[in-house]
Amino acid sequence: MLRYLRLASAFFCVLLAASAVQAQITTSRVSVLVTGKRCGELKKVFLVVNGEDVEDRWIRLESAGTCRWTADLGEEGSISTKQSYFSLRFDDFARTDCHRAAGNAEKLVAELEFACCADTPLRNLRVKTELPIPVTYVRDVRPSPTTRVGAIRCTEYGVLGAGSGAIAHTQFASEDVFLQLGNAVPQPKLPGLLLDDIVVDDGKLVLTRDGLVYRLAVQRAQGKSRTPPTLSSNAISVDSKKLSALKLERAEIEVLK
Amino acid sequence: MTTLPRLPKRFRYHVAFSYSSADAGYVERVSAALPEEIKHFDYRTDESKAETWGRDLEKQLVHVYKNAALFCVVFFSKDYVANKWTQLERKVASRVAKRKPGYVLPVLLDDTEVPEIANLVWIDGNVPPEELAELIDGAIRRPPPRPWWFYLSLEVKVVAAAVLLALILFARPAVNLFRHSETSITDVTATEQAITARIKNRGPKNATLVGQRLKFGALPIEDVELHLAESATIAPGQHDVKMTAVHLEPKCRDGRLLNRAEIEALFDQYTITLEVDVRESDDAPGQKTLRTKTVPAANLKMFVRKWVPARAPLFAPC
Repeated sequence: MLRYLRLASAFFCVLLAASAVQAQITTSRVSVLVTGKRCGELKKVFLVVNGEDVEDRWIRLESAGTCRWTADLGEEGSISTKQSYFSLRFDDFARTDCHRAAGNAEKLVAELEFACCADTPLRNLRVKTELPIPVTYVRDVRPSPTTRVGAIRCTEYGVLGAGSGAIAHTQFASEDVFLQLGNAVPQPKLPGLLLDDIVVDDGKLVLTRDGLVYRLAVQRAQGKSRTPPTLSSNAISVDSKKLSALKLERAEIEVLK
Repeated sequence: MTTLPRLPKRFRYHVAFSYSSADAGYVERVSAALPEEIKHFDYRTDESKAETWGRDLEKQLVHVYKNAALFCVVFFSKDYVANKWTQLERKVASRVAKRKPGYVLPVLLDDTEVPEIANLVWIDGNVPPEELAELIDGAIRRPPPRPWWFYLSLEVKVVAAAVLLALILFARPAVNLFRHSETSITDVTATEQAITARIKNRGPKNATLVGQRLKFGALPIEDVELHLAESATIAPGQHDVKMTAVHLEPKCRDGRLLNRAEIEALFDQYTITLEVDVRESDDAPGQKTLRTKTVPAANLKMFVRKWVPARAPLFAPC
């Protein structure tokens, strides 16, 4: 009898939890709970909304107690808990995977829970092109295997200004970062140069136009360009023509930290 | 002798005489033989002349023979039938007699044929004037016929009154037992926090709202179920019902999700429909009726603006 009661109460709890997650709201208030042993060490925590990975669009969270943080996105920043997704940037030492928020319909708050922090290397990259050309990047972020619930695969993106800029908090163990040369607007479905396997930790990687064409061809052959492996000579010609048209002489990719 | 009944308020004469001036001699004798207390209209008397002097004769005659006397004694004769003015009196008296049988007391002074009195009892003009005056006096003093219920016993009257009262008190509720409510949405307005539907219930019973939703039609927003802020019961009469939602979901258009500013720009072109499911009666809980009201999207702008997210993901799957 007791066993059945326990089963029923567990079922009831699951139902309650499910109903809480399913509540969809429009709100500008976000409440964040960070779990993990290091959550108490966090000083600056930033929220990235809908993958807009540009530092001036990051939202600085305010501490609301131990391991708890809040933010008010303002009337013009309201989000949908059904569609929007979020990730965190911690000081200069970690980032999280992406999560959807659970809507608290009573308090009209989007509630998020993240785990801190993965023990994988974090890099801040600086990218520079000569001549200066439009450069964007797309981050394909995978859910962390240590995350318990709520994580999703997501796309983050950013635009580098006037041929140079930084890509902060890259964590290649859990994301693929694609550089899209010559694109003013990030295109998540188009291939780009995958930075994960070309970045060098000691020093600066300098790629000439031919070097870039070569790296793109190798990544295509290895199936790392979001396409099945291919050795298409036509694709090599297209890359070469495109970079020539952009008058790109070389690109530098440097690990800042 | 029976007492003369009191003249009802709207009558001025017990009897009016309608006759031709050629028969005035006979009529004057009848008139003279009438008791003084009987007020009679005779257009040749000084009193009548003073009253009608300078007035529209036709109107005056119509008024007197239609409204002023309890009875009208008509002295039919060859001259009477030929005269223009007596014909007018005759016509008016006949019309009143149709509504009030017994109004015309006909006296036939010669052998003129008068079709309208063929079925009436008339008095022959050979009767001496004094005798005719007595007959007129008798007719006036005769108590008026009483309606059939006058003869019912008091007990029957009390029972009938009780039945009538019960019918008045209970008939309507009894009929209402079989009538449902009858609702309609007459207006829809909105604030930031709620949609207000003005719902009119014309029926005798309470109605219950069992579902309500906003349908956005061509506006790129998903239809949404609304929650009631107050009771779902609509009593007979007109009520403002507040409905809320805490989320409006934009739809994809041209391969991407629109944000609030882009949707707002479309408000002037489209309409929004409020749909309400109403249970018109508790007698049939399974049955519901759909009531709708379509309003310009701009009317609900404040509400939609509040609950459509301002930021939409750039790369949402569309």
